[in-house]
Amino acid sequence: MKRLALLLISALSFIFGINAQEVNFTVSAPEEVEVGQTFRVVFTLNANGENFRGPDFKGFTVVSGPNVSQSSSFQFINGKMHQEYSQSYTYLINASMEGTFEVRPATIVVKGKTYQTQAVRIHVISSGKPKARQSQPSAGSTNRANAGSPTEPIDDVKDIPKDDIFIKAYVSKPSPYVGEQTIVTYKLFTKVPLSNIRINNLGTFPDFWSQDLLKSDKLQQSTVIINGEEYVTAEIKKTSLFGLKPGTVTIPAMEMECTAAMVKKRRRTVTGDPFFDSFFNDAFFNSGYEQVERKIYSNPLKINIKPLPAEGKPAGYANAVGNFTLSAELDRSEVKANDAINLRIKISGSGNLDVIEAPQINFPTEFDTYDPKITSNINTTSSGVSGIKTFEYLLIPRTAGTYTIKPIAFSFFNPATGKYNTLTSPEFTINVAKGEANAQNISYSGVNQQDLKYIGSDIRYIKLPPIALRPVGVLFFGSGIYYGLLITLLVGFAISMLIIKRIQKQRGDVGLMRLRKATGVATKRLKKARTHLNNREENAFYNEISAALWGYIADKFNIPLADLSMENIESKLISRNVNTETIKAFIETLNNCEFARFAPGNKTENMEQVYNQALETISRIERELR
Amino acid sequence: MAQAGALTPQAMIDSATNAYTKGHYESAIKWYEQVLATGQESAAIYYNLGNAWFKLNEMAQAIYNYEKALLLAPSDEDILFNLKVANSRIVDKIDIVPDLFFERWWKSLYTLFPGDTWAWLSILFTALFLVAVGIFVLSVKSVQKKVGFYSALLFLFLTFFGYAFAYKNHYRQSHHTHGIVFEPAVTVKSSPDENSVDLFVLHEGTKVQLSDSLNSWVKIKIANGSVGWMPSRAIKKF
Repeated sequence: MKRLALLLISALSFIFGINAQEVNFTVSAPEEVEVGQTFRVVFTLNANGENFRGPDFKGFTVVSGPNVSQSSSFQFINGKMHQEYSQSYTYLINASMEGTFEVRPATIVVKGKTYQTQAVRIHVISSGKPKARQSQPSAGSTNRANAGSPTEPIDDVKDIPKDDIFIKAYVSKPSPYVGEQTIVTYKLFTKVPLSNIRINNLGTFPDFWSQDLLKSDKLQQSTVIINGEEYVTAEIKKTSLFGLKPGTVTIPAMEMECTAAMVKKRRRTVTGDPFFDSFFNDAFFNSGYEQVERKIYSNPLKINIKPLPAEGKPAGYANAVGNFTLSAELDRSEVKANDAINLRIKISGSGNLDVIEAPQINFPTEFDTYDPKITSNINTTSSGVSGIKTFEYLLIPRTAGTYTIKPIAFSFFNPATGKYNTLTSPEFTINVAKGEANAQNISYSGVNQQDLKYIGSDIRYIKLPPIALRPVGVLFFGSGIYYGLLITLLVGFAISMLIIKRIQKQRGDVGLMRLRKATGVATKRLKKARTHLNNREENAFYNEISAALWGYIADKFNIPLADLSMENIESKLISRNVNTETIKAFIETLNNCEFARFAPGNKTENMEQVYNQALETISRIERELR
Repeated sequence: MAQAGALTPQAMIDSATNAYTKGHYESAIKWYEQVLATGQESAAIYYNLGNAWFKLNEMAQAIYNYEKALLLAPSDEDILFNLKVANSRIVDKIDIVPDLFFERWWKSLYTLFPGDTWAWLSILFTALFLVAVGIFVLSVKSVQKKVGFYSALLFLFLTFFGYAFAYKNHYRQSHHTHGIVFEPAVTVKSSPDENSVDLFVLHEGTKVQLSDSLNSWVKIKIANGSVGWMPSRAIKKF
């Protein structure tokens, strides 16, 4: 492109006839610098030159350069066109030691003529010193221009053109996603042999997770031809970068120090043919060369990190970017309790493997789980970071049973497609059999209970025969017998109460009792009377009979004895529905008895009669009442 | 063992005792199971069976049998002791919500005797109540009447309790109100549905109280008061 532009410009200049312009080749440099200061030396040419050869800057260190830039402007003033064209070669120079140094002229070829700049003197003063040399004669303008004039090639100049050694930084993807891999390559180009390469400021990459891709210390060299010049080139640093957060990140320039074998040339041939030049300027053809310390800077880089798209972000997404595959395997699915199981989850592919965290797995609560053992086998090839990350879970089921581990999901963002992907593993089923344990000494350490009080103690011994057995499920309560018994109790109670009541009633009715007693008492009295009769004791006899009769009536009809008299006995007996004949007979007996008691006469004869009559009457009443 | 059918239950018990003493717990279990297979039971048989299972470290079986034994002999000290030991060796340690004092009294009262004893007692108390009523009714003297009245009241009260306890025991034996978890681990859900929320996990040997059941699910309550649903296959009821 550059060449095309130059060509175009030359063509234009030809057309507009402005080639008559005077060629001006100037150098611009500061007069005085401090030690350690980096400054700029610019060679400016107002024409299209080629085969620029810069000075060697002896006593200085070239930081970078020559950096070529071109500019052109066209102006129409009063109908006349002015063209300004400038080509500049800029060096960044570092003053490394004190003293006064000469910057030798630079040469350039314009249309076959070689032009040369003036030599410039630069005072390097120590940083602390007052700037006393400002009035040096050579001091004046910083722009010591010299009308370029063709010069002969310079002899015995230790000449290292600044583009003999340079570092170029590339970035494979200037605007990656967060977490997407982008590769930064630092390539060293050199035309001179180098040794002691030291990278000073090893490009640090803040806001990046980085992985060096070049493993060996030995640089892979190759030759390239740039602009017709042959360079030995090697990648001195190649790093995979994974952006950690969105934003624009500037990667500072890389600084490299090396010892360059600078060719001490007796004579430089300037043929205009780069190949020819380099061939003859080669160390092989030149007798000696000198070790020169050089500092080289790369170009800084800018990387614009894009945020991940928000839409379609899976729930369990955890920063994985790349392209991955997931595999999960269980070393066995049939175990005994307290035996260990290994669950291995492999995530392989290319991407930010290091950032990938262990997937969230919900293990059954019966399992003792430990933090996974993570092994990453990351291959860093020149094409980037890829590899396998393995998560090994150790699981110890504590109790027997059948358990399932739900499918394990792993989500990542695929920058190639710009979409999120989710991978899932199959579901695992684990059959846990009872662990081996002896009945006597089982360790219960696995269970949550901490007090192991009963280790060493034992349960109580079995019950020894004879053991009374009973039919299963036959319960007394609620059975027929139970209710039968209850009913029997109630009925028995009721019956006995009835009986008792009746007896009590009988007892409680004194008349009835008397009735019962009456006959007995009467009989007794009559018996007594009989003995009295036999003994011929009239008074006692009549008393007994009288008492027997009265007592009998009183008891029989429940009439208190005191209420009875000859007068009322009849009415009383009638009120008790006694037969009037019987009443008559009874009263007659009573009268006879009374009469016999108190009347004079043969009491002994009457006694027999009265006795029989009383007996007759009582038995008669007895019969009637029955 | 083949001619076991010909043996009398008492002979089986003797064989079982022998086997247990020699440490042949599996064979002891077989003998006891055969005793039960004759359709006869006893708290002692369940207790011995529980012991044999315990020795084989089958805590769920052991606890199940101890609980069965307790149903028949609720206050047997050996059973209570061994049940406590077995319960201390299962996975789940559940803090029991303490009963209120009257619940405790009630419980200690109705577990004082087996159900049948309470049944007999209820009959006895009924009889005594009736006697007391009789005395009250029949006595003439006021002291007797008073004694009769108060003892009738007392025995009426005792009859009521005897009947209630007998009923309670009877209910426990004829209705399977409790169960033992027989699966190594079972997740208790918030509702009778496989997709419902997991509440907690119960392990083998834990005693649960059963209430409702729906399809193949039962509603359970554990000793600390937590309630949930679990598949009924995980439980052996007693």
